[in-house]
Amino acid sequence: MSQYILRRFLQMIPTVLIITVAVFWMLKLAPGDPLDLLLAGNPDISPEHVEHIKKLYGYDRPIYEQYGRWLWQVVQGNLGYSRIYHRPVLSIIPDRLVNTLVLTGSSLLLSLLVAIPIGVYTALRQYSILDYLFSFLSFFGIAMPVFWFGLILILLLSVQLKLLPPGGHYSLEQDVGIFTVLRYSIMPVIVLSLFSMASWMRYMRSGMLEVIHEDYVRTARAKGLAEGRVVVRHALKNALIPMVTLIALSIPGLISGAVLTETIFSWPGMGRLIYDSLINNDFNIAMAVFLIFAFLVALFNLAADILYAFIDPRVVYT
Amino acid sequence: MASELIQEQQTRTYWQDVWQRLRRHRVALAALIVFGLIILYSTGGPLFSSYSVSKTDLRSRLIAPSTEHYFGTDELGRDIALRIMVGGRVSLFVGFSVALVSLLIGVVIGSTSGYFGGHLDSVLMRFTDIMLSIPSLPLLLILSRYGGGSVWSIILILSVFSWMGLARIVRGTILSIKQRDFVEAARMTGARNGRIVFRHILPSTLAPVIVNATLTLGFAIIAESSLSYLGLGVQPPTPTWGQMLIGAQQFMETAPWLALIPGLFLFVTLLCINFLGDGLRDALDPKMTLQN
Repeated sequence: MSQYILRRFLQMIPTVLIITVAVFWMLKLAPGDPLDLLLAGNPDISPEHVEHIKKLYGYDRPIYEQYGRWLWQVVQGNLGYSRIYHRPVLSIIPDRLVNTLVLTGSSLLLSLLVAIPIGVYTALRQYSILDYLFSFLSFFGIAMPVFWFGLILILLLSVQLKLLPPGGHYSLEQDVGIFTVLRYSIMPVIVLSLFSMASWMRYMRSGMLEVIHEDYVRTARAKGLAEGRVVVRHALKNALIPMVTLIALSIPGLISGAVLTETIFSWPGMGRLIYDSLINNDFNIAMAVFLIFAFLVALFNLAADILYAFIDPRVVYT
Repeated sequence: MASELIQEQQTRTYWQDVWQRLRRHRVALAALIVFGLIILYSTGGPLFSSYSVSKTDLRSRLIAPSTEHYFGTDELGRDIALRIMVGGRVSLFVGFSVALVSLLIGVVIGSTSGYFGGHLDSVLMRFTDIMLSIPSLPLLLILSRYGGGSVWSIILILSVFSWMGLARIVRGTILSIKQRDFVEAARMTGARNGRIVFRHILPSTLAPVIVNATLTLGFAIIAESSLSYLGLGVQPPTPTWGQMLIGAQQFMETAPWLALIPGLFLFVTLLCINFLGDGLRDALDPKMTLQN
């Protein structure tokens, strides 16, 4: 088992590297090179000076060499210096990462807590009124654009009812009690979870429907087990297996959603950070955030595979 | 002659069946009608408008919906109804184009992968997996700087991130079809690879591909509007629904219609597309029999 985990862990390194290579190239070749912009804004700089600065930063070298240098620094634990914050990237990332993990983690949890019970219920009561209602609602959730949903909630809960702050983060408040945290987090978490909540509800329903007609469920009923026990122990347990893959696959989408959610609600997380860094040409920050995103996605895939091996005895890990 | 007649009758009945099943799916039918109306409103509406899309008029800024401006005006005094129509043209055009381009990329990669198998398959699918595991929005933000925000560049970069689902569907279907007897029979008669793929295999993938292309259309519209909302999509003065929402957040208290109307159009369009996709999934499935 540990060998399997180790090998899968080593396998994720090339994927992460490929992503960083691609992003590095795209950022380097994109129009609006930060140095050119900086120099264009300052008429006093002589051409020799430009050459000197480019040499200083290694910008005169071919891109693959620049990438090699960047990678070598990263391996040594140096993510560079931020242009806009004038601080080492490594000192900016941790707080942001925690904020994003709080946001995405709560959204994941909320989505599961809503989607699983509703999915199970609607599968057990197929074609009931509530089944139709939830299926209809799930379409609304899937079709709702994240940023518009955010705007609507702000309009309703902050502007009209003045219940919640329209954005910002609880860490900026004086006393950070559970109530403050909730006030600031409710809207972003709901906005970010809506899509996964709605689509997982549907997956859970169809997964349950598939399992509920299996022979082993009929056997469990036939031997006189209570219905609750049949549903939870025999049906739900098996229907949950594909959900593991689904969650792992939804991580990239969740990150994209976090970029939008954090921008709307001024939530100081990684999504907001990458948006700001791309707008302001902060190369080192952008690369660092992408590196972490790539690792997060790979880690979740790895975790899903390992979890699979644990919960599904039919899976042989080789 | 006789066999041709029979064949023609059979193909016609499949599509007639599809239409019958779609009509029976009330929600999908309603979605189709509403979607059609939105397309009609966007394409035909500007012909009947006397306002200008881009000309600003500071005397008539932020007018609430009234008889003169039934959707009101924005912060620069432009008629929102007209901007909705023109923005709709752009958003829908981007959506359909991206769906079409991803369809092409997806079918080419999926069928190559599924049909030839082996190393080519594993390389292509590994590539597809990597593309799927990249959070697309941040990368789209980088790529959007290349084209300078023109409609064509947005179509191109969105297509790069929209074909993976289609490729996987096509590959999966082809894998299950290529072992069937009728493909074997075609090979025996000496048909070349291209002919086998285009004449015998791809038609069988039509149903899942149509459904998936519909969902890709929805994805493309939502991606374009997200990008435009972040200010990195189609650039002004060309409006799109997402872009119209950029300034809306500041005017939330004084002019909520700025946020409500473009978003509502976006949401209803996406809702229609999703319902339509669901209806098509059932309608295109020949195993679904017509009751009554």
